[in-house]
Amino acid sequence: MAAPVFTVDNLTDHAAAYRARIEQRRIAIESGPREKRFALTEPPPESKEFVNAMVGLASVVQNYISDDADRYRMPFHQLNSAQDVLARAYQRALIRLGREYIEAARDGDGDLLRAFMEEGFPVAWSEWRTGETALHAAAGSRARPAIRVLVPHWPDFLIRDRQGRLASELAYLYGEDPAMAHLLGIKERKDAIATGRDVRRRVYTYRTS
Amino acid sequence: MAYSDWQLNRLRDALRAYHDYGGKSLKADFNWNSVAEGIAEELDRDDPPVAAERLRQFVEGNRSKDSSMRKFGTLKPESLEAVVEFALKLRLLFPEELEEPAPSLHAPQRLLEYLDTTAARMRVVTPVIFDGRYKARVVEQRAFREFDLTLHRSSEPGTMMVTKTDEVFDKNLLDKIDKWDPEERRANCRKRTIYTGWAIFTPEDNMMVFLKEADNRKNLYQFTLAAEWYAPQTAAERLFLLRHNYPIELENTNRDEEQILQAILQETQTNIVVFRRVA
Repeated sequence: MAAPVFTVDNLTDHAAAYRARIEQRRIAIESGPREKRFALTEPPPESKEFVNAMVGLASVVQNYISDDADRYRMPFHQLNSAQDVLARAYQRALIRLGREYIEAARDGDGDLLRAFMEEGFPVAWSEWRTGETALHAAAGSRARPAIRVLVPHWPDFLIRDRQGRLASELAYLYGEDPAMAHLLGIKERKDAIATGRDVRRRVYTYRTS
Repeated sequence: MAYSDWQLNRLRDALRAYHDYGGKSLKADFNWNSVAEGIAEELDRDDPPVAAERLRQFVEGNRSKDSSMRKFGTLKPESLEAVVEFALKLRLLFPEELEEPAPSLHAPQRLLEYLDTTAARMRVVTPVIFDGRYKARVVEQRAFREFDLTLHRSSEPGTMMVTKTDEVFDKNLLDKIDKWDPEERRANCRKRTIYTGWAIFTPEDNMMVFLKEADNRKNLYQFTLAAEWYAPQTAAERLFLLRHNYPIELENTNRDEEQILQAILQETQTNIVVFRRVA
């Protein structure tokens, strides 16, 4: 079968089909037995190709090169206007799907979250403005069903949001769930030791400002 | 200096966070003894100004015999001052966090001044009593949400401080929730998100609520969609608010305008929330 072509015109169809596959998978997960531990199934090739196209095209417009902490310059290759429109359209689709993914985590919708993951959506995708990941959203909202799905498959517990906060800090300060903070803290510690990083936690950030 | 309950609770939170996360690195654990010694070290004293166990009882409290509530220990005034000095010195708390319980009111005041060009701010103050606590329940396809909206009266006319919580429960628990005690409610809650912010009352009698999600500072706006008439000095019983965060994204723009409008209305309908006064 020929590889699909991704254009601006067929983006809506691809996005709608991808959403439909996620919904189908969610229904299948919901009707299946509840498993405490589960292996993620391999995403179908059509989902994989669509996600790769979105992530690839989005990264073309997203990856600015940083010379130092405050200065950014444009990527090496300049896009022509057609490429720019295509890349921005797919970036927008990725952001919208990412928002739905993070909202599923914030709402503690474990089935939907797992469906996203099994349809190949990047597990550690972060919202570009806040740097918030699904783990941060779930921790800050005390969404335990989401934490149960995310923790066994989370690639790096030391990911920080734009304010430099770890998920465990959000669980403690905003989720007001010391047990969840403790669990995430253990995972952070293990990740730090395994990768030879010595990570400091910020002591305190308060809720109101 | 005497401290009020919310100030003491804030101090407890700061000390608890220092106890849990204050180690120099992830490998170092703190116990209450290290916290007490840390206070002495930071304040250049030979002995801790408060004993470790007394500090623990102040922060963590002790459960009552029937386990229904927690009783928090107290500290002597001079010990409390030392603990406050330590928390401020180590920037566990900023002075304004210990002094200022509410977000700044400058932004709502400026907006109100702009909206009420006559600057007769008293005119815009609604004669109806809005401060109080409201609840709303929204049943969705697979879950239901419980919103809790509290409007706090402010010293500034036409503005109010607002806190809101959003809790989600599985739909099959809908008939049980009203019988739960707080512990059961917490155990069954799928998530809880906190919002804080402010509301203003415009000259046109609209209530505009600007909230920020506590953990990531994302915005949420709520506006009056419909208003009931109340006699002056009576309490509003219901609020009809439209909640809005992101614009509705139209994926299929090839449809005609009538269909697009229908799609927008359908989406908007899910964002209209009726809040009922509970206190």
